[in-house]
Amino acid sequence: MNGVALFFAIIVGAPLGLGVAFTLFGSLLNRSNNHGDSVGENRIYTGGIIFSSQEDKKLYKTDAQNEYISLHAKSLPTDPVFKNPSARVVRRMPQPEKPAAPTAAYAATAAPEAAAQAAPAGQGFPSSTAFPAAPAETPEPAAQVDPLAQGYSLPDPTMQGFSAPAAPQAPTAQDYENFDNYIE
Amino acid sequence: MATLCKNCGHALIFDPSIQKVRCEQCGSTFLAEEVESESKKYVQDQKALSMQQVYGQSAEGTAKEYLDCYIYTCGECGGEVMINGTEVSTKCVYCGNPTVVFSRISKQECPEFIIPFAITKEQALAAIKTEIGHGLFVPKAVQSFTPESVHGIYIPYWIVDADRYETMIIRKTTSNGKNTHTSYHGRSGTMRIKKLPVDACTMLSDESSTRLEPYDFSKMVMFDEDYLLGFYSNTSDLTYGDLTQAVNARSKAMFDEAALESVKGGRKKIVKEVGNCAIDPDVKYALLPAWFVTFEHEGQHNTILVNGQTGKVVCGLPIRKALFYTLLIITCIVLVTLFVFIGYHIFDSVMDYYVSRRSRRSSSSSNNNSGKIVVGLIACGIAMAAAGIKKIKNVFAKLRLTQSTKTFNFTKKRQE
Repeated sequence: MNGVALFFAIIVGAPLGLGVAFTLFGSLLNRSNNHGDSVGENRIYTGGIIFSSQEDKKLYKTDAQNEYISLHAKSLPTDPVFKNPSARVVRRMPQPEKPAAPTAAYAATAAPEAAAQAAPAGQGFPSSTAFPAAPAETPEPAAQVDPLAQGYSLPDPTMQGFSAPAAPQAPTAQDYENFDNYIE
Repeated sequence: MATLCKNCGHALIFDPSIQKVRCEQCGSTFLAEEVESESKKYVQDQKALSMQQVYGQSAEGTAKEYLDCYIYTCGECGGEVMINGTEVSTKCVYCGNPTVVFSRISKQECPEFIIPFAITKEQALAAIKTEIGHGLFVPKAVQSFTPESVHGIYIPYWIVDADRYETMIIRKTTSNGKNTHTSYHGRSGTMRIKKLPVDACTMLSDESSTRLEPYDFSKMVMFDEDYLLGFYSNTSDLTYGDLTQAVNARSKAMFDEAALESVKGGRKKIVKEVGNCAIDPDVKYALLPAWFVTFEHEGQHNTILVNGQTGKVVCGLPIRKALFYTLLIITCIVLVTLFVFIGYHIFDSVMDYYVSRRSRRSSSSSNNNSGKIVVGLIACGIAMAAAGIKKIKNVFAKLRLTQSTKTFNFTKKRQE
């Protein structure tokens, strides 16, 4: 028996035999026990890259690479809606599901129940980050109770028998919570 | 509150096979949009009460257990229906009537779109049976499993349009004999991503939900609560930060894959990259359907997912390990012996050939080619073994996902 030939046969045959066996059984096991192992392919969600620059084989040096990156890298505007709170729109349900518009009394008394309804803290989007809806379904903000403006007008100091209205109370944290619960 | 049949007053459920809501009592069928104006006259905004409000302050130390539970009163029988954190529709545990928690929908973000179930429960089970019925390494008990529970659940998704911009340097290495050639390729560009679904339910792992894709968004309709009747559903509990993170990761993977494809041949690696992702403001909120089928095998809970629109089955099944490993070892021994045997004869004859050639010419003509072939065969064998092991590990990873407590908990905490 040729010892050298046997040695070479083992070092070649062993990896090949193991390789073929593992490939075969890996495929068999995958076919038998793994189903639906795919995610949405790129082509479903995108039409591909629109290249603004392609440079081949000119970037051997680190400096050249850095220069290429700094020359072509630019930032896109990121999520303008969420950085501008005024652009946020609250989505609302159609009229039949909507609770009756709150009155000042509602706002004052419904707080405990409304607070119980609110999502647990830290979950979901903040109430003001909901997504755009049909404009017709969004009630006018003016129709809501403004705790700051209610019952306040400038007094005329020349009027007889005038008694100044009570100074408006600064809104408390509870007022804001009530207001937010209605908005939600 | 259940939506009631206008003919007999019984609760309606959505039937995927006819794409209409159906009364099980009198057999009347209605379009989901059709019943809206009639039945919702009766809808009242029921207020969810926390467990503590219903039963008073719980004993010390047990409060955390109930923090995320709410109690609703069934509109049909008056029974108390308990739901967890983000559920929107469920069934009454007492009378079995479907219940849609309208007040939760109205208080939280209302979904804009929905893909109604197109696969019935029976079709989903049949699809599973067909898919797993002939697996060589699937235990017999699993092939003829009895479902522990079958839940049709609408999973909340954010449907995102975005732009991905990236600049990168790709290193390509090509080997030619002893020489290795390295080249660098700069790529910069924009990728427009449209209708990318992002699972908005943190209770379900992203890995499970992405495997349910693709959904056909052309079948998406405006959201109507009546599509939820007879099914379970959740609301989004994903923060905007989580959403951007998910879109960023997914879009980066898509861009990288496409950019690497633009460089032909060789082993490619991205060595430097800078990029960002801008999500369009009009993110859509939609509910997408999936069946969750659970069964128990050897004390482990397994959850098989079925896309409720296309019927795609997603699962990693338990393995007959004894059979698998025995067959693998036997095959390894047989193949190694076979290759060594063949190799011995080949090398023996090759060496005889070289010995006779040298003695004739007494010149040391290069035998580099045979050396290259030997090295090539060894490398090929190692690469094949690595690929096979990777596949086996992937199957085990998917099995762990099917048996994960997270997925099981997502479906088990529902009223039957």
